[in-house]
Amino acid sequence: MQIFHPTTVDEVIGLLAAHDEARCLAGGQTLVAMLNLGLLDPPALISLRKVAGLDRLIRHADGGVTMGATVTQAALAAADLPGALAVLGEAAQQVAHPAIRNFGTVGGALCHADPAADLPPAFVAADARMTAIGPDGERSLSAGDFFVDYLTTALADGEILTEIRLPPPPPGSVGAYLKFARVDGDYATVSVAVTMTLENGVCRAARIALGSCAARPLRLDAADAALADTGLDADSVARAGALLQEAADPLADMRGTADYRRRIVPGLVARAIGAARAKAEAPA
Amino acid sequence: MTGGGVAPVDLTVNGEPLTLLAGPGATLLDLLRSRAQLTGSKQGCNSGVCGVCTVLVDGKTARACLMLAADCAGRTVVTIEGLDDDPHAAVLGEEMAKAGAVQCGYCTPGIVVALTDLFRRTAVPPDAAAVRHWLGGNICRCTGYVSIVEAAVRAGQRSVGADIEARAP
Repeated sequence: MQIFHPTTVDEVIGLLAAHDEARCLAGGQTLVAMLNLGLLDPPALISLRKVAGLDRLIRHADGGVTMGATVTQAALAAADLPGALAVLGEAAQQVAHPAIRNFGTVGGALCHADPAADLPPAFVAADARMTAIGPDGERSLSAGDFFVDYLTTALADGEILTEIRLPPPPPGSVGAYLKFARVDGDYATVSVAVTMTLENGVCRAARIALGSCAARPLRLDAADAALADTGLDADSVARAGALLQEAADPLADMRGTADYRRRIVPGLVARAIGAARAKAEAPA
Repeated sequence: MTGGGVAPVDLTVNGEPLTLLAGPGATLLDLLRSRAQLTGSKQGCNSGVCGVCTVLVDGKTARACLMLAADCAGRTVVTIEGLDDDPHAAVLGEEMAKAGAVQCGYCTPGIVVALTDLFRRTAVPPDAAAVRHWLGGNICRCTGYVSIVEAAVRAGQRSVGADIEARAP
């Protein structure tokens, strides 16, 4: 296994083109574990540690945020982003343990695309735009289109995720991330990421994405629509939860059976909506 | 760029600049234990779950088993051996011994490193809930954690204070 330490994105693209099956190494908090366990044996690793600028988190004047792919989960957890973008910080705070968050990166976690991980549903709920660069240039994908299947993203061979762009959160927007896990720091049995825009107690728009309920973060137009232009009354919240429950197609594993996961979806959705709404009602 | 063989890695370990030879798949934990003969950091799950290899990398709690050695050039590493003169670690050692928080001892170095990092970061002594949350990534299969948490809370009350900044190296 060869290891390369490029300093520019162009060099990374060149190395990916030159080495079949090469892997990019960011924080290594999943990749090195997989190497140690013998689950992966790539012919080449391309370290992103020395690539200039990838670890920047930029706050724009309009409230939008651009974060490089190697921003650490700890940096995101501490960023205290405004409005709906708070969903990202809450998810990052719940990734594993301090040592993992200190080195694990946002881009690494998103590219690993584990549907039980915390960041993918949060970035879908925040309507993030992902910037991918490859031999044919740059393109931008929605987070919803970025996640394709278990451990599979829409990145083509030779492409890397370089940055994630978050739109300016609308006035009155709030976000929350709730995870049900068996023990502190574990992957989700089920998780709920929600962003909403509230106007005098009326929900103008909502985006809900579930973790651990499908091969990728589960979002439903119908569930989001069930909350739009409502006062988030119990019936509307229950309807959104029921639609998501019906669409959920979770795995059964040591963190819960598929049936158990489906059963806790409506309750966790209601609690996440309640947590987000409480922020709108709290004095700023 | 590094080739596929064994290559030297320059890093600072416990204040000492070292050049250690690392194979391409070697981890920082391999380097510390096999090349630097620092065996205080233990190998447990080797996949980032158990926390017995916890060290400080560039001043932050890290899993030595999840840092690829060849990617550690220029980093500053502190292991349990490097905390010999640390005031937080010394108090922790005393309180853990007193509370019976050390049984087989395998998890102890990782726990002392992790708690030292917590004590350095906080201005007020952590309560039991804060200690439990912080140690979520350190598994102990002997004690049931009660004695460890008690010892950590007492140690924090003794060593975390207003002069924390002055005492952190």
